[in-house]
Amino acid sequence: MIFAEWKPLDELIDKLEPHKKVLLAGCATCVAECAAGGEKETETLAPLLRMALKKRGHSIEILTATLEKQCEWEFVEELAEKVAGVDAIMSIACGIGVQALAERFDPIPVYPGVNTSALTIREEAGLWAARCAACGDCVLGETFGYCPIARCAKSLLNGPCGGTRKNGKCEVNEDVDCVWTLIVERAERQGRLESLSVLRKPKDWSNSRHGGPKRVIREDLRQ
Amino acid sequence: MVDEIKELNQDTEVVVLYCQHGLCDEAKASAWSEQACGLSVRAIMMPCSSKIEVHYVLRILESGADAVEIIACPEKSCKFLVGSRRAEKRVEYLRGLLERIGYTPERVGISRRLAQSPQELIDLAKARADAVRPFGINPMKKGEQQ
Repeated sequence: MIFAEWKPLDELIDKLEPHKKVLLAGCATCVAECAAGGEKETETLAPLLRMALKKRGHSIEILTATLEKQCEWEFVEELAEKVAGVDAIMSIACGIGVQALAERFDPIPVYPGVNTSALTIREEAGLWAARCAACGDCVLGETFGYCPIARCAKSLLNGPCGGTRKNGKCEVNEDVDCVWTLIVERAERQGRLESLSVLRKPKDWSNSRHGGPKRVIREDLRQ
Repeated sequence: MVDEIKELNQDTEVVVLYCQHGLCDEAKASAWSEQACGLSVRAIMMPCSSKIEVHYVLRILESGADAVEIIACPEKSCKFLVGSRRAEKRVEYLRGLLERIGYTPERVGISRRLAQSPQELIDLAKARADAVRPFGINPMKKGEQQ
Protein backbone atom coordinates (compact mmCIF):
# COMPACT_ATOMS: atom_id res chain seq x y z
CA MET A 1 0.00 0.00 0.00
CA ILE A 2 0.99 3.62 -0.39
CA PHE A 3 2.10 4.76 3.05
CA ALA A 4 1.46 8.20 4.48
CA GLU A 5 1.60 9.90 7.88
CA TRP A 6 -0.06 13.03 9.22
CA LYS A 7 1.96 16.16 8.81
CA PRO A 8 2.79 17.96 12.08
CA LEU A 9 -0.47 19.31 13.49
CA ASP A 10 0.95 22.83 13.84
CA GLU A 11 1.64 22.87 10.12
CA LEU A 12 -1.94 21.84 9.34
CA ILE A 13 -3.40 24.37 11.75
CA ASP A 14 -1.30 27.18 10.24
CA LYS A 15 -2.51 26.26 6.76
CA LEU A 16 -6.18 26.35 7.76
CA GLU A 17 -6.05 29.44 9.94
CA PRO A 18 -6.84 31.93 7.14
CA HIS A 19 -9.92 29.96 6.06
CA LYS A 20 -13.54 29.94 7.19
CA LYS A 21 -14.98 26.80 5.65
CA VAL A 22 -12.86 23.83 4.70
CA LEU A 23 -13.44 20.35 3.35
CA LEU A 24 -11.28 17.65 4.91
CA ALA A 25 -11.14 14.79 2.43
CA GLY A 26 -10.02 11.29 3.26
CA CYS A 27 -9.49 8.22 1.12
CA ALA A 28 -10.69 4.76 2.09
CA THR A 29 -7.97 2.86 0.27
CA CYS A 30 -4.20 2.86 1.01
CA VAL A 31 -4.11 5.69 3.52
CA ALA A 32 -6.95 4.04 5.43
CA GLU A 33 -4.89 0.85 5.65
CA CYS A 34 -1.99 2.76 7.14
CA ALA A 35 -4.32 4.62 9.52
CA ALA A 36 -3.49 8.08 8.21
CA GLY A 37 -6.30 9.15 5.91
CA GLY A 38 -9.31 6.85 6.14
CA GLU A 39 -12.71 7.67 7.54
CA LYS A 40 -11.63 7.24 11.15
CA GLU A 41 -8.65 9.52 10.69
CA THR A 42 -10.75 12.09 8.84
CA GLU A 43 -13.27 12.12 11.67
CA THR A 44 -10.43 12.37 14.20
CA LEU A 45 -8.53 15.14 12.50
CA ALA A 46 -11.56 17.36 11.89
CA PRO A 47 -12.51 17.94 15.56
CA LEU A 48 -8.84 18.16 16.46
CA LEU A 49 -8.29 20.98 13.97
CA ARG A 50 -11.49 22.76 15.02
CA MET A 51 -10.43 22.55 18.67
CA ALA A 52 -6.92 23.79 17.91
CA LEU A 53 -8.19 26.72 15.86
CA LYS A 54 -10.83 27.57 18.45
CA LYS A 55 -8.08 27.78 21.01
CA ARG A 56 -6.34 30.28 18.75
CA GLY A 57 -9.58 32.25 18.74
CA HIS A 58 -10.55 31.26 15.23
CA SER A 59 -13.83 29.51 14.46
CA ILE A 60 -13.81 27.37 11.38
CA GLU A 61 -16.32 25.08 9.74
CA ILE A 62 -14.75 21.82 8.65
CA LEU A 63 -16.81 19.45 6.52
CA THR A 64 -15.62 15.89 6.11
CA ALA A 65 -15.86 13.31 3.35
CA THR A 66 -14.03 10.07 2.73
CA LEU A 67 -13.94 8.84 -0.83
CA GLU A 68 -13.49 5.23 -1.82
CA LYS A 69 -10.52 6.37 -3.92
CA GLN A 70 -9.17 9.87 -4.32
CA CYS A 71 -7.08 8.78 -7.30
CA GLU A 72 -10.00 8.01 -9.60
CA TRP A 73 -11.95 10.81 -11.28
CA GLU A 74 -15.29 9.03 -10.90
CA PHE A 75 -14.92 9.05 -7.12
CA VAL A 76 -13.44 12.55 -6.98
CA GLU A 77 -16.58 13.84 -8.68
CA GLU A 78 -18.59 12.80 -5.62
CA LEU A 79 -17.06 15.73 -3.76
CA ALA A 80 -18.38 18.39 -6.14
CA GLU A 81 -21.46 19.15 -4.07
CA LYS A 82 -19.57 19.46 -0.80
CA VAL A 83 -16.83 21.56 -2.33
CA ALA A 84 -19.32 24.23 -3.34
CA GLY A 85 -18.96 26.96 -0.74
CA VAL A 86 -15.69 25.89 0.85
CA ASP A 87 -12.70 28.20 0.59
CA ALA A 88 -10.08 25.46 0.95
CA ILE A 89 -9.66 21.70 0.86
CA MET A 90 -7.31 19.62 2.96
CA SER A 91 -6.70 16.13 1.60
CA ILE A 92 -5.32 13.36 3.75
CA ALA A 93 -4.99 11.01 0.79
CA CYS A 94 -1.62 10.28 -0.80
CA GLY A 95 -0.03 12.84 -3.09
CA ILE A 96 -2.00 11.44 -6.02
CA GLY A 97 -5.29 12.22 -4.32
CA VAL A 98 -4.16 15.71 -3.36
CA GLN A 99 -3.24 16.46 -6.97
CA ALA A 100 -6.49 15.02 -8.29
CA LEU A 101 -8.51 17.33 -6.03
CA ALA A 102 -6.29 20.31 -6.90
CA GLU A 103 -6.84 19.66 -10.60
CA ARG A 104 -10.58 19.03 -10.39
CA PHE A 105 -11.42 21.85 -8.00
CA ASP A 106 -9.04 24.56 -9.23
CA PRO A 107 -8.89 27.44 -8.11
CA ILE A 108 -9.77 26.30 -4.57
CA PRO A 109 -6.51 25.79 -2.65
CA VAL A 110 -5.86 22.16 -1.77
CA TYR A 111 -3.46 21.40 1.07
CA PRO A 112 -1.87 18.03 1.79
CA GLY A 113 -2.58 16.82 5.31
CA VAL A 114 -0.16 13.92 5.11
CA ASN A 115 3.35 13.18 3.93
CA THR A 116 3.38 10.26 1.49
CA SER A 117 6.59 8.37 2.00
CA ALA A 118 6.72 4.73 0.95
CA LEU A 119 5.18 1.58 -0.52
CA THR A 120 4.74 -0.71 2.44
CA ILE A 121 3.22 -3.83 3.84
CA ARG A 122 1.68 -4.05 7.30
CA GLU A 123 3.99 -6.51 9.03
CA GLU A 124 1.87 -6.56 12.16
CA ALA A 125 -0.65 -4.30 13.86
CA GLY A 126 0.90 -0.85 14.06
CA LEU A 127 4.06 -1.75 12.11
CA TRP A 128 4.53 -0.97 8.43
CA ALA A 129 7.68 -1.66 6.45
CA ALA A 130 8.78 -0.66 2.96
CA ARG A 131 8.60 -3.42 0.38
CA CYS A 132 8.83 -1.65 -2.97
CA ALA A 133 10.60 1.44 -4.27
CA ALA A 134 8.73 1.61 -7.58
CA CYS A 135 12.11 1.53 -9.30
CA GLY A 136 10.68 0.54 -12.68
CA ASP A 137 13.08 -2.39 -13.23
CA CYS A 138 12.04 -5.20 -10.89
CA VAL A 139 14.74 -7.63 -9.75
CA LEU A 140 12.61 -9.71 -7.36
CA GLY A 141 12.94 -12.73 -9.66
CA GLU A 142 16.69 -12.75 -9.07
CA THR A 143 16.63 -11.90 -5.39
CA PHE A 144 14.26 -14.59 -4.17
CA GLY A 145 11.33 -12.31 -3.67
CA TYR A 146 13.11 -9.80 -1.43
CA CYS A 147 13.58 -6.28 -2.77
CA PRO A 148 17.14 -5.02 -2.24
CA ILE A 149 16.22 -1.59 -3.57
CA ALA A 150 13.56 -0.89 -0.96
CA ARG A 151 14.88 -3.05 1.87
CA CYS A 152 18.66 -2.64 1.75
CA ALA A 153 19.83 0.63 3.29
CA LYS A 154 22.31 0.94 0.43
CA SER A 155 20.02 -0.55 -2.24
CA LEU A 156 22.79 -2.97 -3.14
CA LEU A 157 22.23 -5.27 -6.10
CA ASN A 158 25.17 -7.49 -5.14
CA GLY A 159 25.00 -7.75 -1.37
CA PRO A 160 25.52 -8.19 1.44
CA CYS A 161 27.67 -5.16 2.13
CA GLY A 162 29.85 -6.63 4.84
CA GLY A 163 28.33 -4.59 7.61
CA THR A 164 25.65 -7.10 8.51
CA ARG A 165 25.42 -7.63 12.27
CA LYS A 166 26.00 -11.07 13.74
CA ASN A 167 22.29 -11.42 14.43
CA GLY A 168 21.42 -10.78 10.79
CA LYS A 169 20.32 -7.20 11.30
CA CYS A 170 21.29 -4.19 9.19
CA GLU A 171 24.26 -2.13 10.34
CA VAL A 172 22.27 1.03 9.71
CA ASN A 173 19.26 0.02 11.81
CA GLU A 174 19.37 -2.77 14.35
CA ASP A 175 15.60 -3.24 14.15
CA VAL A 176 15.70 -4.04 10.45
CA ASP A 177 16.69 -7.37 8.95
CA CYS A 178 19.61 -7.31 6.51
CA VAL A 179 17.69 -8.11 3.36
CA TRP A 180 20.72 -9.75 1.80
CA THR A 181 20.90 -12.16 4.71
CA LEU A 182 17.26 -13.00 4.05
CA ILE A 183 18.00 -13.44 0.34
CA VAL A 184 20.92 -15.78 1.02
CA GLU A 185 18.94 -17.80 3.55
CA ARG A 186 16.01 -18.28 1.18
CA ALA A 187 18.38 -19.16 -1.68
CA GLU A 188 19.95 -21.82 0.56
CA ARG A 189 16.55 -23.22 1.54
CA GLN A 190 15.60 -23.46 -2.11
CA GLY A 191 18.94 -25.07 -3.03
CA ARG A 192 19.78 -22.29 -5.45
CA LEU A 193 22.54 -20.45 -3.63
CA GLU A 194 24.82 -20.61 -6.68
CA SER A 195 22.45 -18.31 -8.58
CA LEU A 196 23.57 -15.47 -6.34
CA SER A 197 27.14 -15.77 -7.61
CA VAL A 198 26.01 -14.28 -10.90
CA LEU A 199 26.97 -10.60 -10.92
CA ARG A 200 23.96 -8.36 -11.32
CA LYS A 201 24.73 -5.45 -13.61
CA PRO A 202 23.76 -1.86 -12.85
CA LYS A 203 20.02 -1.38 -13.08
CA ASP A 204 18.29 0.60 -15.76
CA TRP A 205 16.96 3.52 -13.74
CA SER A 206 15.43 5.27 -16.72
CA ASN A 207 12.06 3.68 -15.97
CA SER A 208 12.05 5.08 -12.42
CA ARG A 209 11.79 8.71 -11.30
CA HIS A 210 15.23 9.34 -12.76
CA GLY A 211 13.76 9.10 -16.24
CA GLY A 212 11.56 12.15 -15.72
CA PRO A 213 7.81 12.27 -15.10
CA LYS A 214 6.22 8.92 -15.84
CA ARG A 215 3.60 8.73 -18.56
CA VAL A 216 2.24 5.42 -19.74
CA ILE A 217 -0.02 4.93 -22.72
CA ARG A 218 -1.95 1.72 -23.45
CA GLU A 219 -3.64 2.15 -26.80
CA ASP A 220 -5.81 -0.93 -26.22
CA LEU A 221 -7.43 0.82 -23.24
CA ARG A 222 -7.81 4.29 -24.72
CA GLN A 223 -11.05 5.67 -26.07
CA MET B 1 0.42 22.64 28.94
CA VAL B 2 -2.37 24.65 30.47
CA ASP B 3 -5.69 25.56 28.92
CA GLU B 4 -6.35 29.26 28.79
CA ILE B 5 -9.54 29.84 30.69
CA LYS B 6 -9.09 29.72 34.42
CA GLU B 7 -12.45 30.97 35.59
CA LEU B 8 -14.69 28.16 36.65
CA ASN B 9 -18.13 29.52 37.25
CA GLN B 10 -20.11 26.52 36.17
CA ASP B 11 -20.31 22.80 36.80
CA THR B 12 -17.44 20.68 35.62
CA GLU B 13 -18.90 18.43 32.96
CA VAL B 14 -17.53 14.92 32.86
CA VAL B 15 -18.65 12.25 30.43
CA VAL B 16 -18.11 8.70 31.61
CA LEU B 17 -17.89 5.98 28.99
CA TYR B 18 -18.06 2.61 30.65
CA CYS B 19 -17.81 -0.98 29.52
CA GLN B 20 -21.03 -2.89 30.16
CA HIS B 21 -19.09 -5.96 31.28
CA GLY B 22 -17.27 -4.19 34.07
CA LEU B 23 -20.36 -3.25 36.04
CA CYS B 24 -22.74 -4.77 38.48
CA ASP B 25 -26.35 -5.08 37.26
CA GLU B 26 -27.43 -2.09 39.33
CA ALA B 27 -25.20 0.21 37.30
CA LYS B 28 -26.21 -1.21 33.94
CA ALA B 29 -28.27 1.48 32.28
CA SER B 30 -27.45 2.47 28.73
CA ALA B 31 -27.11 6.13 29.68
CA TRP B 32 -27.78 8.27 32.72
CA SER B 33 -26.77 11.60 34.19
CA GLU B 34 -26.16 13.07 37.60
CA GLN B 35 -25.65 16.65 38.69
CA ALA B 36 -24.51 17.81 42.09
CA CYS B 37 -21.92 19.86 43.95
CA GLY B 38 -20.33 21.56 40.95
CA LEU B 39 -20.16 18.36 38.96
CA SER B 40 -22.26 17.26 36.02
CA VAL B 41 -21.85 13.64 35.00
CA ARG B 42 -23.18 12.01 31.87
CA ALA B 43 -22.57 8.28 31.72
CA ILE B 44 -22.83 6.20 28.57
CA MET B 45 -22.57 2.44 28.51
CA MET B 46 -20.46 0.86 25.76
CA PRO B 47 -20.45 -2.76 24.59
CA CYS B 48 -16.69 -2.86 25.27
CA SER B 49 -14.13 -0.16 26.02
CA SER B 50 -12.38 -1.12 22.78
CA LYS B 51 -15.39 0.32 20.92
CA ILE B 52 -14.42 3.78 22.12
CA GLU B 53 -12.73 5.38 19.17
CA VAL B 54 -10.44 8.40 19.40
CA HIS B 55 -12.85 10.51 17.36
CA TYR B 56 -15.78 9.71 19.68
CA VAL B 57 -13.89 11.21 22.58
CA LEU B 58 -12.75 14.19 20.55
CA ARG B 59 -16.33 14.89 19.55
CA ILE B 60 -17.34 14.84 23.21
CA LEU B 61 -14.59 17.30 24.10
CA GLU B 62 -15.41 19.43 21.07
CA SER B 63 -19.00 19.64 22.22
CA GLY B 64 -17.79 21.20 25.46
CA ALA B 65 -17.35 18.46 28.05
CA ASP B 66 -14.53 19.34 30.42
CA ALA B 67 -13.29 15.78 30.71
CA VAL B 68 -13.92 12.22 29.63
CA GLU B 69 -13.37 9.28 31.92
CA ILE B 70 -13.30 5.80 30.43
CA ILE B 71 -13.97 2.83 32.64
CA ALA B 72 -12.43 -0.30 31.20
CA CYS B 73 -12.05 -3.79 32.59
CA PRO B 74 -8.85 -4.89 34.31
CA GLU B 75 -6.29 -6.68 32.16
CA LYS B 76 -7.43 -10.23 32.86
CA SER B 77 -11.15 -9.53 33.07
CA CYS B 78 -11.76 -8.20 29.56
CA LYS B 79 -14.42 -10.32 27.90
CA PHE B 80 -12.78 -9.69 24.56
CA LEU B 81 -9.29 -10.34 25.98
CA VAL B 82 -7.53 -7.26 24.64
CA GLY B 83 -10.38 -4.75 24.51
CA SER B 84 -9.45 -2.76 27.57
CA ARG B 85 -5.77 -2.80 26.59
CA ARG B 86 -6.72 -1.30 23.25
CA ALA B 87 -8.76 1.35 25.00
CA GLU B 88 -5.78 2.21 27.18
CA LYS B 89 -3.52 2.60 24.14
CA ARG B 90 -6.07 4.80 22.42
CA VAL B 91 -6.30 7.02 25.47
CA GLU B 92 -2.53 7.35 25.48
CA TYR B 93 -2.57 8.28 21.78
CA LEU B 94 -5.42 10.73 22.29
CA ARG B 95 -3.73 12.43 25.19
CA GLY B 96 -0.69 12.93 22.97
CA LEU B 97 -2.88 14.55 20.31
CA LEU B 98 -4.49 16.86 22.85
CA GLU B 99 -1.11 17.94 24.13
CA ARG B 100 0.03 18.74 20.61
CA ILE B 101 -2.87 21.13 20.07
CA GLY B 102 -2.39 22.81 23.44
CA TYR B 103 -5.12 21.05 25.42
CA THR B 104 -4.61 19.53 28.81
CA PRO B 105 -4.11 15.78 28.26
CA GLU B 106 -5.66 15.12 31.67
CA ARG B 107 -9.02 15.92 30.11
CA VAL B 108 -9.10 12.26 29.12
CA GLY B 109 -8.47 9.48 31.59
CA ILE B 110 -8.99 5.77 31.90
CA SER B 111 -9.58 3.57 34.92
CA ARG B 112 -9.18 -0.13 34.46
CA ARG B 113 -11.35 -1.58 37.17
CA LEU B 114 -14.65 -3.31 37.83
CA ALA B 115 -17.17 -0.82 39.18
CA GLN B 116 -19.48 -2.15 41.83
CA SER B 117 -22.05 0.62 41.78
CA PRO B 118 -23.18 3.76 39.97
CA GLN B 119 -21.72 5.71 42.89
CA GLU B 120 -18.32 4.31 42.06
CA LEU B 121 -18.64 5.70 38.53
CA ILE B 122 -19.56 9.08 39.96
CA ASP B 123 -16.55 8.95 42.27
CA LEU B 124 -14.29 8.25 39.30
CA ALA B 125 -15.90 11.16 37.45
CA LYS B 126 -15.26 13.37 40.48
CA ALA B 127 -11.62 12.35 40.51
CA ARG B 128 -11.34 13.23 36.82
CA ALA B 129 -13.06 16.57 37.45
CA ASP B 130 -10.61 17.29 40.27
CA ALA B 131 -7.73 16.52 37.91
CA VAL B 132 -8.87 19.02 35.28
CA ARG B 133 -10.32 21.75 37.50
CA PRO B 134 -6.92 23.48 37.98
CA PHE B 135 -6.72 23.93 34.21
CA GLY B 136 -10.08 25.66 33.95
CA ILE B 137 -13.01 24.89 31.73
CA ASN B 138 -12.72 23.39 28.29
CA PRO B 139 -11.62 26.16 25.88
CA MET B 140 -14.35 24.97 23.51
CA LYS B 141 -16.81 26.66 25.88
CA LYS B 142 -15.20 30.03 25.32
CA GLY B 143 -17.65 31.07 22.61
CA GLU B 144 -20.61 29.96 24.69
CA GLN B 145 -19.49 32.17 27.58
CA GLN B 146 -19.22 35.30 25.50
